[in-house]
Amino acid sequence: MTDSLPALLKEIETLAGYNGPWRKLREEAPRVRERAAELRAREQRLDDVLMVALIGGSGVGKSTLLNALAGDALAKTSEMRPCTSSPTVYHPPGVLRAFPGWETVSGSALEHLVLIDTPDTDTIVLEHRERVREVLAECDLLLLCGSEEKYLDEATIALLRPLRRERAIVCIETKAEGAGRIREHWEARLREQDLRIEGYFRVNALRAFERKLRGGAPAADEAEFPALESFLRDALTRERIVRIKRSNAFGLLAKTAVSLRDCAAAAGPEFEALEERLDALDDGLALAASDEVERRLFTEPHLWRYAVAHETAVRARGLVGGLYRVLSAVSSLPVHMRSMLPWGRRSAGRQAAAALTGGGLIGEAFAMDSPALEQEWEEARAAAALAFQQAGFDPLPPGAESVDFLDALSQGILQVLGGEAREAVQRAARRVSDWRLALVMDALPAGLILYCTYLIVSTFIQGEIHDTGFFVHAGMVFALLAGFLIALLSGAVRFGARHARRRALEAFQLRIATARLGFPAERAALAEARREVARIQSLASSVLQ
Amino acid sequence: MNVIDVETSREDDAASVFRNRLEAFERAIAAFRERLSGCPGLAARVFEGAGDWEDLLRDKLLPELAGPPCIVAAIAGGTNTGKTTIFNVLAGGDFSPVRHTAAATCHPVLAASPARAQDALSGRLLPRFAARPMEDPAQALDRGLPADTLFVVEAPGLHDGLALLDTPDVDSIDTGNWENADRMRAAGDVVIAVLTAEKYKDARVVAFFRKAREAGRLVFPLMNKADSAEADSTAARQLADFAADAALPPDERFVLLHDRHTVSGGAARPMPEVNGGADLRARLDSLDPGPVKARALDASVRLFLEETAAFLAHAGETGRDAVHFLDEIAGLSAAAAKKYRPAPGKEVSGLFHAFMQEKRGRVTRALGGAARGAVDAAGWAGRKTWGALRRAGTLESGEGETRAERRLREMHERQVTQIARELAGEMLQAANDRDDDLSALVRDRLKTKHTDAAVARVVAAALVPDDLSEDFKRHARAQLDAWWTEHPGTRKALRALDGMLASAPLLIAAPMAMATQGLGVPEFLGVSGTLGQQFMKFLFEYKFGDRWRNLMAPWVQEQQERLAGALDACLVAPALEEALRAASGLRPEALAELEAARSACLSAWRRAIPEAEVEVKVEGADYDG
Repeated sequence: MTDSLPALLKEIETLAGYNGPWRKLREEAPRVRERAAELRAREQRLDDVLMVALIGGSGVGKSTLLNALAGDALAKTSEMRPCTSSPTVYHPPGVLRAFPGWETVSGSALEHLVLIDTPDTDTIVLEHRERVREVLAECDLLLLCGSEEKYLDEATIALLRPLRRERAIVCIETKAEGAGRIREHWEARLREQDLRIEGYFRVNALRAFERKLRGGAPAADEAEFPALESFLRDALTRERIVRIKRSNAFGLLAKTAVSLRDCAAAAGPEFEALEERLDALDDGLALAASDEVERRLFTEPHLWRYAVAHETAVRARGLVGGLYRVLSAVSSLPVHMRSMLPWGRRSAGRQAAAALTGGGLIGEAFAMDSPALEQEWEEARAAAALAFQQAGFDPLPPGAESVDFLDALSQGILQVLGGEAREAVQRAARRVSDWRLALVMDALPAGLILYCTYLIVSTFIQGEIHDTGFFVHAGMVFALLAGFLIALLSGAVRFGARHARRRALEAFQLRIATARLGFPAERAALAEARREVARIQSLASSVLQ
Repeated sequence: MNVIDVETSREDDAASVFRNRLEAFERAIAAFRERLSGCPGLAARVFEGAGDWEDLLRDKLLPELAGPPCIVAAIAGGTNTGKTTIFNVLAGGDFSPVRHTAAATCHPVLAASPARAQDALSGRLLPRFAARPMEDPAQALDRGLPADTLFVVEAPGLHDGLALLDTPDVDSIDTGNWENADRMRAAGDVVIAVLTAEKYKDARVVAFFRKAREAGRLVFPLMNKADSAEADSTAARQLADFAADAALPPDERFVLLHDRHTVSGGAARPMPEVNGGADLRARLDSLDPGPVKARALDASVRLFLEETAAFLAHAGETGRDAVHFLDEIAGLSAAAAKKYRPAPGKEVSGLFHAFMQEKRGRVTRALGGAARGAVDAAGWAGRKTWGALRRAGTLESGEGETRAERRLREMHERQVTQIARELAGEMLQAANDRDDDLSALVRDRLKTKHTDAAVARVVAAALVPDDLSEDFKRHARAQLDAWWTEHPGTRKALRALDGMLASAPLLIAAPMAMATQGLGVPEFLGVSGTLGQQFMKFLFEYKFGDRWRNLMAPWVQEQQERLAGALDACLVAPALEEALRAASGLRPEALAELEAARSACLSAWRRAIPEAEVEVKVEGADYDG
C-alpha cells in the first residue's frame, strides 16, 4: 500500500486526462482532475505537520477548547452566538504555510501539529459555513466537538458527509459534567453515517482553561482533558500522522475509484454491442465489396490471360517459347497501342491488369469507383454512427471519419493485385515456361528440323537436291506442329490464368473479410474507451480490495 | 368571541363554498401529481419547494374548516433542546418520554382534554395523520413505525380549547423528522419555540420559526435552561436576538429556569415572561381560540394563495421548457425528410409517355402502337419462356420486378434507412445534451432494440409503390400543356420528324417487299418502327428538359412529406411517447384547470374575507407587520 499511492495516482491522472468521445468518462474527467490534484497535493504533504481542525455547531465550545489546549486566551469566547467568525490557526513556531484571511498565532508546543479553530457550522451567518469548508479542505484530522445539547445536528454532519473516509475524526464531548450520557448514541449515529471515528474524549475545557491560568495539577472535573492533551502530544507520533494522512488520501482515492467504477459499470455490454454492430456492418461491407470486386475485376478472364501470357512471354525459352514470345508481342500490340492513344480507355480492369503485370502498362494510381458500393458505405456509416451514439459515445467530429471505405478498399485491392495475385500469375507463368516443359515441347520440332536437315544433307551428298514440294511439305508439317504446340502452350496459359484468378479472389476475400476496413476511427475510440475501462477496473480492484 | 361564534361562522355559506373549492383544488392537485407520476424526476422538479403550501392546505386549511374549535399549540425546536420536557410540564403529566440523547422523539404526541382527544382519534383534528392512543410512552421513539403516526394522550389538566403537540426536531440528521415538524407547524395555531443557549442562532431553527410567523402563527419563544428571568439577563438578550432574527414581535418571551434535578415528570414549573408578564401556561390558557385561529387561518390562506400562484408559474415554466424540448426533437424529422431525393419510377414516366402519345399524330400513333405492341408481345413471350426455364432450372420464384425496378427500390430503401438512422442519432444527441429525467425517457426509447425495428417500419411506411396524387397529375398535365403551347416551332419540327420516322419504314418496306417478295418485311417494320419510337422518346425528353425540374418538384415534395409522416409515426412518436405522456400534465390546458381551481378558491376567499378580517384582532400582539 505504501508504494502504490504514486502509481495509483498516475493512473488516476491518466484517466483524468481523457478527452475522447466516450461521454461518461469525459463528463467525469473534470471531477477526477480536481481529485487528482488534491491527491497530488496531499501526497506531497505526507511528511508535513498534521492539520487539526476543531469543528462543531455554534456554542459547543470550540474556542474554549483551543484556549484550554493553548493555555492562553487565543480565541474570543462568548455566550452570545455566533462568536468566532474567522479561523484561528495555532501553530508551532516556524512551521506554517500562509493562509489568506486566517488569523495565525505562533507558539504552540505541539511541534508536529497545527490546531485550527473554526467558526460555527450552523448559525444564520451562512458565510461561516464557507469558512469551515475552506478549513475542511486543508485539514487532516477533525476534532468534532459536540455538547450534550448539540451533537447530532444536520448542519455539521452535512459538511462532513461528503468527506466521509477522507478525514480522520476524533469526537470531543465538551462541557462534561457528571456522568456522560450521549457517548454511545453519538458514536452509533456517526457510524450509521459511515464516518470513521479515531477516538472519543469527554472534556470540560472551561475548567481546564481556568486551571491552566491558575496553575496547578489537572483536576477530576476536567474529565478526560489530560487524556486529550496527551493524545495530541504523544499518541500522534510521526508514523501515526503519516498513517492518518495516507488513510485520508486513500479515502479520497477510494471515492474516486468508486465514482469511476460507477461510470464504467454499464460500459461493458454497451461496448460489446457496439463492437458486434461494427463487425456486422464491416462484414456486410466486405461481402458487398467482395461481390462487386468479383463481378468487376475478377470476371475478366482475358486480363488474367493477358497477364499470364505476358509473364510467360518474358520467361519463355526454347524454340516454341521463342515463337510464343514473338506471337504474344504481336498480339498485345493493340492493347499497348490503345493505352498509348489519347482516347484509350483506362478501365478499372485494365488498371488491375497493369498492377498484375508490375504496373508497366499504365502508370496510374488504382481507384475503385463504384456507386453501388458508395451507397452501401454511406448506409453502413449512418448505421455505425447511430450505434456509436447508442453505446454512449458522442458523434465523432466530421474530420475524424475522413477515412473513406472505397479508398481503403482500393488500397486493399491494389495490395492483393500487387501481392498474392501477381505471385499467382508469376507462378503460373513460371510453370508454363519451365525448361523441362520447353525441352519436351521443343523435342518434336527440333527432331523434325534435324530430320529434314539430315535428309537434305544426305541427298545433297548423293548429288541430289530436294524439289520444292519437299520444302513446302516439310514447312507445312513444321507449321502445323508449331501451331499445335503453341496452342497447347496457350491452353496451359489459360489454365494457369484461371487458377491464378481463383487464388487471387480467395486471397482478396480472406483479406477483406479480416481487414475491418470500414470504421477505423470508431474502432480506435472504442479501443481507447476499453483501455480506460480496464484501467478503471484495475484501479478499483486494487483500491477497493 | 367564543367557541360558539366560530361554530356558527363555519356554517356560513361563504366559508363552506371556500372549503368546497379548496377540496376541489386539492383533488385537482392530486390528479395533476398523478399525471406527472410517469416521470418522477420531472414531478420532483415541478413540486420543488411545494411542501409548505401543501402542508398548509392539508394540515391547516381543510381540517380547520371542518374540525372542532381548538387551539393547537405545537412545541417545536432543535434537537435535544427539551421540547418533550416542556410539553410534559405544560400538559401537566409525564405523557411523552424524555431522553438525554438527541433526535429521540420521532412521532408527534398530542395531549388534549378527553373530548378533544376523541376528536383527534376520530381524525377530525389532524386528519392527515394516523392518530392512535398511546399505550406505551416509548412508542413515540420507535423509528420503525409509519412516518404519519400521531399518538394521542388524554390530559385532564387541559381545557377543551387547547391541545398541545410534542413534535420531532427540526435540525437533527434524521431529516424525516423535519418533514413531520413542518407538518406540525402547519397544523398548529400557536408555536412554542423551544431554544437553548447553543441553538437560538442556528439557521435551521430561525428559518423554521420565521416561516411559522409568516404563516400567521403566534410564536412564543421559550429559552430553556436559563439562569435568570431578569430583563437584562443573558437569556433575555439571546431571546431578543432570536426574535429579531425570526421577525417576531419583541415582547412575549419566556424562560424556563435551569433545574438540573427535575429532568422529567409533569411537576409544574414556572415559565415566566421575561418582562414580568404572565406565565406561559397561563398565557396559553388565556388565548381566545376564535381570533387566534382566524388569524392563523387568514395568514395561511394568504400564504397558500401566494405560494400556489408561484407554484403554478413555476409549473408553467417547467412545462414550457419540457414542451419546448420535446417540440424541438419532434421538429427534427421535417428537416431530415428534406434530405430525401427520390427518383421517379415507372408511374411518373408513364404519365409523361401518355402525354407524348396523345400529342402524336393519329397515324404515327397507330403505326408506333402496332409496332410497340408486337415488340412488347415478343418480349413478354420471351420473358415468360426464360422465366419458366429459370424457375425450372434454379427452383427459384421469379421476382416480379425488373432489374432496373429493383435497383430503384433499393436506392430508395437505402436513402430512407440512412435518413431514419441519422434522425435517430440527432434525437439521441439532443436527448444526451439535456441530462434529466425527461430526456432519459427519450433516450431509453432510442436504444438499439427500438431503433432497428423503427427504421424498418419507416422504410415500410415511406416506400409504398408510388401512387400519384390527383393534384400532381393535374400539375404535370398543366406543365406539359404549357410547354407544348409555348414552343410551336419545336412542336412542328418534332411532329414532322415523328411522322417521317413512322412512315419511312413503310416507304422503304414497299420497294423492299417487291424486291424480296415479302421476305423480311415484317421484321424490318417491327425493328425500325420501335427504333423510331425510342428515338422520338429521347428527343421529346431532351427537348422537355428545361421543364423537368418544375414538373417534378411537387412530386418530390409529396414524397418528402410522406417520408416525414412515416418518420413521425414510426420513429419520433414512439420515441417521444412516454416523455410526452409524462409532460402532458404540464401542457398549458392542464395547468389552466389548476389555475381555475385556484382562482375559484381566491374568489371564494374574497367573499369570505370581510368576516375574517373583522375577527383578526389578537390581544397583546401587533400582527399587522
